[in-house]
Amino acid sequence: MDVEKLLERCRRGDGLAWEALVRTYQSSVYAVTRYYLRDPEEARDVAQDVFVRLYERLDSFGGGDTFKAWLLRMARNACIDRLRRLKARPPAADISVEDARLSSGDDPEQNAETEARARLLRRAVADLSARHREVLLLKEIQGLKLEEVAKLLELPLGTVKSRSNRARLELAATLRKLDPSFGAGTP
Amino acid sequence: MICDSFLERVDALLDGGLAGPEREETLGHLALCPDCRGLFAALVAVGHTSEDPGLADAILARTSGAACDSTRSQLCARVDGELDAFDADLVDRHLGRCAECASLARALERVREDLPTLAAIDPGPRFVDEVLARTSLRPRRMPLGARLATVLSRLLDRPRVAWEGAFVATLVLFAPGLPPRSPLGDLPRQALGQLRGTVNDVEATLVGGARDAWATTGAVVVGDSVAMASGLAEGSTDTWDKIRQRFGTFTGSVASGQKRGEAGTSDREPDAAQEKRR
Repeated sequence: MDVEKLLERCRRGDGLAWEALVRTYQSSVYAVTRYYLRDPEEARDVAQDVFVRLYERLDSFGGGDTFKAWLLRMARNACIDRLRRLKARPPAADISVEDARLSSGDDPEQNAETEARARLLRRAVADLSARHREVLLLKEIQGLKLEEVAKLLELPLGTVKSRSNRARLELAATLRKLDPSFGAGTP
Repeated sequence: MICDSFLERVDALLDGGLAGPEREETLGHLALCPDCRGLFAALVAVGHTSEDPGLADAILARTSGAACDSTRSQLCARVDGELDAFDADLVDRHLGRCAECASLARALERVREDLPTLAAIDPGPRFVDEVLARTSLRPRRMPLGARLATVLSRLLDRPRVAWEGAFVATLVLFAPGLPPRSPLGDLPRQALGQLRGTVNDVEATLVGGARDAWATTGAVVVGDSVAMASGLAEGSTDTWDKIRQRFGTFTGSVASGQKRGEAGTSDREPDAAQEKRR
């Protein structure tokens, strides 16, 4: 879907376009708020706040970033604000696999395998340092460009790149420790 | 030909790259020089022996160290396809020999495939409805320019705006240009004076009217109130006199009854009959 067109329609007050925008980005925003806040209810609450804020400030998106990068920055800032209000980060809790939208089909065997992979992956991600996790979330998981992540985190481009590479290597090494057969099938 | 020249050409001779007079000259030296013949034989033998697997590692250990760190620093770029052909070939050669790095590379490939699947987490079926409910109740915050445009548009939509605009424009355009003693030069001041006079007249009329109304209504109200109060006072005096009169009659009869009671009980009956009649 053409995001620019969708945004333009939202700015004109098209309720249908706004619903489509919410449905398109809800999972990404929620994934980011879950990552930062851990607690599902807090994450849902902040994700809703992000969309309400977006609704009020649709006109302030003027390009420069992609819309997704802009939205995720808004989500990240909202999470940081909430964490400041909470004064301390809540205890780390693994994101349940049931939450992850990974089901690739109706095949129960395939779904079970996918869930097992997701569980392993989330466990390994949770073991990473906070810095590595954050870069990994934005660049590798959410697929933002290097420049967008650098701008979002206010870090030099080189720092983001090296941090991302170290995070991936650390993750791969952790996965191999958790499951020695991980990656064995890849040619 | 001297031995140094032979050494310069020996690689080409082994690869079959020498031809013509150079080849003839090199082979001629080989036939005459026993040292060069022995070296050539040794070099030919190298091609038929198996590589010593530990030799390169031993050399690397004594020189630059293992290349695993260098490889891993480029492994992500290799997986992402960002290396040029030369560097990619170097990394691939290392991966061909180092099982540890090769396993890590395979894990990285898998991570690259799997990580994007974590990008979306379903916040639940009611999430969208809740967001829509919250946003439908709120007005969107408009930028300052748009808000000003809206206000201006509403202002211009007023029916009298054309007349008001024309009046203001006339004042702005003509009033400053009029000579001070012109009969029209004092027009704005006169208009203002008239307006003030009108306002004063209206105010005076309103105040006077209110005063007259109060004078009339107030007199009636005060008169009625006084009459009502005096009526009440008179009524209460009459009532009080009646009560006092009755009370006096009652106490008088009680006193006379007591005197009769002292004289005899039979005297009480007429009093009771009299009280009953009363």
